[in-house]
Amino acid sequence: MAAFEDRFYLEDPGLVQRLRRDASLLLWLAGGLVQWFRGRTVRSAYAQAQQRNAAIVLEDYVDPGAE
Amino acid sequence: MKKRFPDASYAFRYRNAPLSGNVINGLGETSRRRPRQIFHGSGRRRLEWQRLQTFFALTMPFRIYWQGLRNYWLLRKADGRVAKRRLTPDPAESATKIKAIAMQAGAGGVGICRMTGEALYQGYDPGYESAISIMMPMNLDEMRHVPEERAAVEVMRVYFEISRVAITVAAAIRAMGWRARAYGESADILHIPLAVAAGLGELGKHGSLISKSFGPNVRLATVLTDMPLAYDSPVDIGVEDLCLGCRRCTIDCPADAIVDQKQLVRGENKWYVDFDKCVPYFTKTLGCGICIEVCPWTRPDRGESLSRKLLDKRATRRARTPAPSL
Repeated sequence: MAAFEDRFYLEDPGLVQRLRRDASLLLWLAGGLVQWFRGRTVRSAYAQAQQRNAAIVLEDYVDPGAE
Repeated sequence: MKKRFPDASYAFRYRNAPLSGNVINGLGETSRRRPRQIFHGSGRRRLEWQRLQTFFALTMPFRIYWQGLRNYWLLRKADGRVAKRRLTPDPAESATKIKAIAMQAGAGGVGICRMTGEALYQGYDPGYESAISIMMPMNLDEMRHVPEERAAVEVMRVYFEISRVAITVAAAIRAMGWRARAYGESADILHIPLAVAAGLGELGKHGSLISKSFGPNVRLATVLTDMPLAYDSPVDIGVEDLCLGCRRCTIDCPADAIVDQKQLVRGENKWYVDFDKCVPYFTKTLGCGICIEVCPWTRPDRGESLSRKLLDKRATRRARTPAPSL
């Protein structure tokens, strides 16, 4: 896995490199936004569980690929 | 008696629990080693508690999540081109100049120390010689609302602002011809050991830095650099005396995560917070922060006089202690 700094920090960037990095970071952030919106299933199940004094099982809702 | 805070019951659970965070942290280990990331991460490696981390992110209110993304966008400026012409002023003079730049940019305090392995997670070494530790206080009126959304928004705001300060400092150093990289949250370095070594404060029982002026009500960022700088020394402001006698955070922590005695952690006897109890509550409450806000040192304008009283009391105690008979 590549760390955030390895992917997006540039020590001596030219203009093109910087633009490329910015575009790639914007895409990465957009991916984060999409992930949050897709998380509505989790939020809804979690809210319902809180009301019922029950507990959701994390493995059922959070992408196992994330682990 | 516990007060006013939500209890430590959870509407989420594991089917198969991950390895204990206390084991990963090296609780009870007698030899020194570098720490490993468990929960917040930089993306460098798979986290042992990644599932809970993802759940934490997905259940965050949108405005907090959005602020987190803004922080990441800002951090692209953490590194950059180093000026070809290298200025080599006196290390003490450089340190004064760098501190002035940080304070002008909005820091609440700055200290400088030699970079140590203790502040680096396993498998990471960026190869810098010095660390500039920066702290910034959070707004107490907002932080009184822990552990609610309003306080979490303030935390994220300060992370953004302190990252901006660190980026400004790193850019100024690079303009003087030396490598420098700004580190905000979710980095591969531990900010607290560096802040302690740089004299910004001491480690408190609740696992956070306690600074003289702001108590633990601060956030930290770091700039790593090769620029020759004069180092500050660790300070004794009386935190040890306070934490040994005070049980405020231990009593108020709804998760019972704060341990009253120092623990052996990776070969060092120090204050330790039970990770397995703290982090689920942290997740449930959008980042908690109760221990920071109930700490007596957090009360506005109290730090200086509290430190003085604690140190005076210790001096009096020592003066009254008879010398051992020979």
